[in-house]
Amino acid sequence: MAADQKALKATGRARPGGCGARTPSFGVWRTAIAVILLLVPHAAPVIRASAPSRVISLVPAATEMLFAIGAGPQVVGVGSYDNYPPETARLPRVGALLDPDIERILSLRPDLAIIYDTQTDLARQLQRAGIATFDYHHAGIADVTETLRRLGFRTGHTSEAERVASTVENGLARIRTAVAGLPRPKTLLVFGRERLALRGIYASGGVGFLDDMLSIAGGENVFADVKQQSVQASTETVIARQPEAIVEIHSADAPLGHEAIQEEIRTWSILASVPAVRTGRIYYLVDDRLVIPGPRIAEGTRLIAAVLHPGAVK
Amino acid sequence: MLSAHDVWFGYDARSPVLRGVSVDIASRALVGILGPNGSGKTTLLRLLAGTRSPQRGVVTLDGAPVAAQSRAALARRIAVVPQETQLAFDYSVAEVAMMGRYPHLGAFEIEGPLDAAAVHAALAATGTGHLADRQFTMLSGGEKQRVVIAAALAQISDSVEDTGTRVLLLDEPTASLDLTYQLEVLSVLQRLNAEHGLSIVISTHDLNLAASLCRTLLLIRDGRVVAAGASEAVLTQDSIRALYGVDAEIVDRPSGGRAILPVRRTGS
Amino acid sequence: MKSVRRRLVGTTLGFGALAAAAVLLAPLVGSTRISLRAAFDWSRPFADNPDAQIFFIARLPRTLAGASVGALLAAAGAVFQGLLRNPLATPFTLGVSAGAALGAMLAITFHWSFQALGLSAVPAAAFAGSLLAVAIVYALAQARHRGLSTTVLLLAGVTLNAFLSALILFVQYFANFADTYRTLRWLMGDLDISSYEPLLAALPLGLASMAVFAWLARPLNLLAVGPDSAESRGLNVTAAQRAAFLSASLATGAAVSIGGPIGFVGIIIPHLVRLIVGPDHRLVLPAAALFGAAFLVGCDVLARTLIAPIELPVGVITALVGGPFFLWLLIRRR
Repeated sequence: MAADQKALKATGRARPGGCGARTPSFGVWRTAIAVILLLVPHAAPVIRASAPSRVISLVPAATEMLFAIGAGPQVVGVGSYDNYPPETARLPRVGALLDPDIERILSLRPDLAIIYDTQTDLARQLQRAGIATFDYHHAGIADVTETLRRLGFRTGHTSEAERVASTVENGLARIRTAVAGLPRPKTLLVFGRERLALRGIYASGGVGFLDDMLSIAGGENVFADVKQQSVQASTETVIARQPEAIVEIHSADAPLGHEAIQEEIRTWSILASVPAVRTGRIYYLVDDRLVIPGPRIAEGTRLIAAVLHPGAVK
Repeated sequence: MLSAHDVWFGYDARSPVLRGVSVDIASRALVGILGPNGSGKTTLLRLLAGTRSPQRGVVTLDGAPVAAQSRAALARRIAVVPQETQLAFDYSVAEVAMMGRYPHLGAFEIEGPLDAAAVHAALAATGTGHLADRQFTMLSGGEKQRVVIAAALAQISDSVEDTGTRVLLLDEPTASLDLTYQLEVLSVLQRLNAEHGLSIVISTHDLNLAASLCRTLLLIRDGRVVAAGASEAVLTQDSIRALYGVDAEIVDRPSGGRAILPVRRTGS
Repeated sequence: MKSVRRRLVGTTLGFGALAAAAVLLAPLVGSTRISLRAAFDWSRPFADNPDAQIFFIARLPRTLAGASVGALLAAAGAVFQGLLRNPLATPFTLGVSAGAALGAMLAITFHWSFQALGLSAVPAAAFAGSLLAVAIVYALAQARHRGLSTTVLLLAGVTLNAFLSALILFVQYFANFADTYRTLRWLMGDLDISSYEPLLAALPLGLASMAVFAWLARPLNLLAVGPDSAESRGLNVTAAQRAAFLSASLATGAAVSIGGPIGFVGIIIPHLVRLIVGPDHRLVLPAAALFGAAFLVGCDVLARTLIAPIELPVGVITALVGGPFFLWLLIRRR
C-alpha cells in the first residue's frame, strides 16, 4: 500500500511498473523504490548479518563448512563434537544438539549462531538476546551444497562457498560417472551396532544423506522401500533382504585397530546365507568423512564407492 | 513340662528385657502371663517357643533343652498364636489351617490324608469347620482368631505314640477382639485344655481374662517375676498394686470366680 | 477342596501346554514369509538356506529368549511379591534392573568391546551391574538388622534405584546423541539375540534359580501369613528370605542381561496367575513361569510383526498390554 502511494505521488498516476514509451528509468526507479520499501522490514537483519564477525556453530557439518568457505576467522565457538579442521581444537565449546550451553554462547557475544532446526527453545532464547540464528536442516545430500551456499551468503563468502559447493558437486558427479552402468549391489548400510554382536543394528533407510551417498556410490539400499532415515534391522530382516554387500560406517571418535576391525567383520559370519557374507563383501569403514554431511562428503562417498566398485573407483 | 530356668534376654545385649525369669508349664496347665505392656511377655513367649535363645539360663521341654532340638521337632510340640494375623494374599481358611502342618512335611512333600484329617479335626475343635472354603480375609475377628488357633492345633497334633507335652502359646489372644468374639475364643481355649489335654499359655494385660481363664498366673513387671502361683493366691490387691500401680477391688462374682475392678491410681 | 497334587498337575499341564504352543508357533510367524519345507530341508547346506537361517538364527533363539526371560521375570516377580509381602512388588523394585541399566549404558557409551562367558560387552556389563546392585542392597539390609529385614530391604532397594538412576543420567551427559538413543532402545527391551550363546550362558543360573524357587514355594506361603508365625512353625525365616532375595535377584539379573529390563511381565503375570489358580505359591510359581514364557513370546511376535518391517521394542508391547490391565484390576476391585 505504502509503495503504491509513493508510486502514485511520484508519477501522479497509479501505474506500477514502467511501459515502453516512457523513459525506462522512471518505471525502474518506481519499481526499485517499491521493492526497497517492501523489503525494508526484512532488509534490516539481512543487512546486519551480511558480514557477521562472531559466529558460533553447534553443528559439526556446519563448522566444517564455515572453515571450508573461508569463514574460519569469524568463528568464535564450536560444538562439543566438532573436531575438523584442526583449528577448531583451540576454540571454545558451546554444546551440541542435546545440551547447548546458552551461557557460553551468550558470553561469546556472537552475532550469528548456527543451530539445529529442531532446537526451537534455543532459537527463542537467542532471538530474545538479539542474536541472529541460522537453522541447520539435516536431510539429503542436496542439502549439503544448498547449506554451503546459504552459509556463504550469510557470512559474506558467497564466491568461496560457490567454489566449495561446486567442488563437492563435481566430486559426486565424477563418482556417479565412474560407477555408471556397473551392476549396483544390494547394500546394507550400517551406521550403528553393538560391539562384537549383531544387536542394535541401525541401518540407513530409503531417505536421508546416507542413502544418497550409497546411491551415488553405485549401491542399491536394501531398505530403499522404508521411508525413514534409520531402520533398526532385526536378524530376520537382514537375512530376508539378502544384501549383496554390507558396508559399516563409523565415525573416527572410537578408532579401531586392524585386528579389531577384522573381529567386527567376523561377527557377521553367523548369517551364512546372506550373499554379502558368503562372498566376503563386508566392509568396516572408520572415517568421519562418512558420517558428517559437510564439505568432505564427496570424499566419504568415494570411500563407499571404492569398496563397492574397487575396479572403477580408487 | 515346658520350663524356663532363670532366663535373661535382651534384643540389644546391653538392655535386657527379661531378667532371671523362671516358669514351669505342666501338662494340661492353663497359665497366664500377666503384666503391663513392655514387661517382656511377648519375649518370654518367644523364648518358650524356642524362636529366640536366652542369653543366660535355659528353656527345656520335657527335660531336654529346647535349643538342642530341630526347629521342626520343636514346632510339632509348641505352637504360637499371634495377636493378629494379616495375610499378604487371599488364602482360604483351609489353606491357612493347613499351613500349620509345615513341620510335619518334607521340603517338597505335599500334604496327605493324615494332614487333611488333622486339619479337619482342628477346625472342628474350634468350631470353624463350616468355614473351610471361605476366604480368610472375609471372616470376623473372632472367626479369624479361631482359625489361627485351629492351624496351631493342627501343627501340634501328632500321632498317638507321642505323649509328650504339647503347648499352645497365645500372645494377647483377645486384645483386638470385640466382646462376643472374646468369649468365643475363651470358650474354645477352655475346651481345648479340658478335652484335648493341651497346655495353654496366654500372655495378656487383661486382669479379668487372666482371673477367669487361667488356673496359674505369672505376674511380670520390667522383665522380673513379681509373683507366681495359683490365680486366687496370686491375684491380690498387693500384687496388682505392685504390677500396675493401681488400687483395685476384688469382688466375688455371682457365677463363681472373681472380678477385678480397678478403682484409682495408687496415689502418693 | 481338590488336592494340591491334582491341582499342581493340572496347572502345570495347562500352562505348560500354553507355553509349548507359544514356543512352537512363534518361529512360524514373522515379517518374512518362509517356507517351512525349505527350512527343514536337511539336504541343503545351512549356509545356502535363507529359510533355515531365518528360522534357526533369527526366530528360534529369539523365541527361546522370550520364553526364558518371560519365565524368569514372572517367577522372580512372584517371589519378590511373596518376600516383600506386597502384591505390587516387581523384580525391578529393589534396584537390580537399575544396576543392569547402568552397566549396559557404560558399555554402550564407552564402546566397550569384549566377550565374557559367551556374552558380548553389553549383556556382560549389564549382568555385572545387576550383581553389584544385589550386593549393595543385601549388604545394606544385613547391616541394620539381625537377619534380613524386608523393610530395610525395600528401603535399600528403592534408595539404590534412585541413586543409580542419577548415575545413569550423569553418564548420559558424556554420551553423544546416537549412544543415548541406543541406550534408550536397550531400556525398552530387545530379544533379537541371533545366537544361542547368551541362552547357554544364562542357563545354569536360570535353572539354579528355578530350583530354589521350587523350594521356596511353601516358605513363601508361610511368610504370607506372617514372618513371626512362620518362624514358630519351624521355618528358618532368615534363611528363606535370603534365599528368596538372592535367587530372585539373580534370576532378574540374568533375564535383564539377555533382553533388557522388560517391564510389566514381573507384575502382571503373578497377578493374573493368582486370579486363576489362587494364592498357593506351589501353584503360582510354576504357573507364573510358564505363563510368563508364553506371554513374552506372544508380545515379541506382536513386536516384530505389527508394523513390519519396522520393529517395535518388546517392552513397548508389554507396557501397552500392562497399563490397561492394571486399570482393569483397579476398577474391578470390590
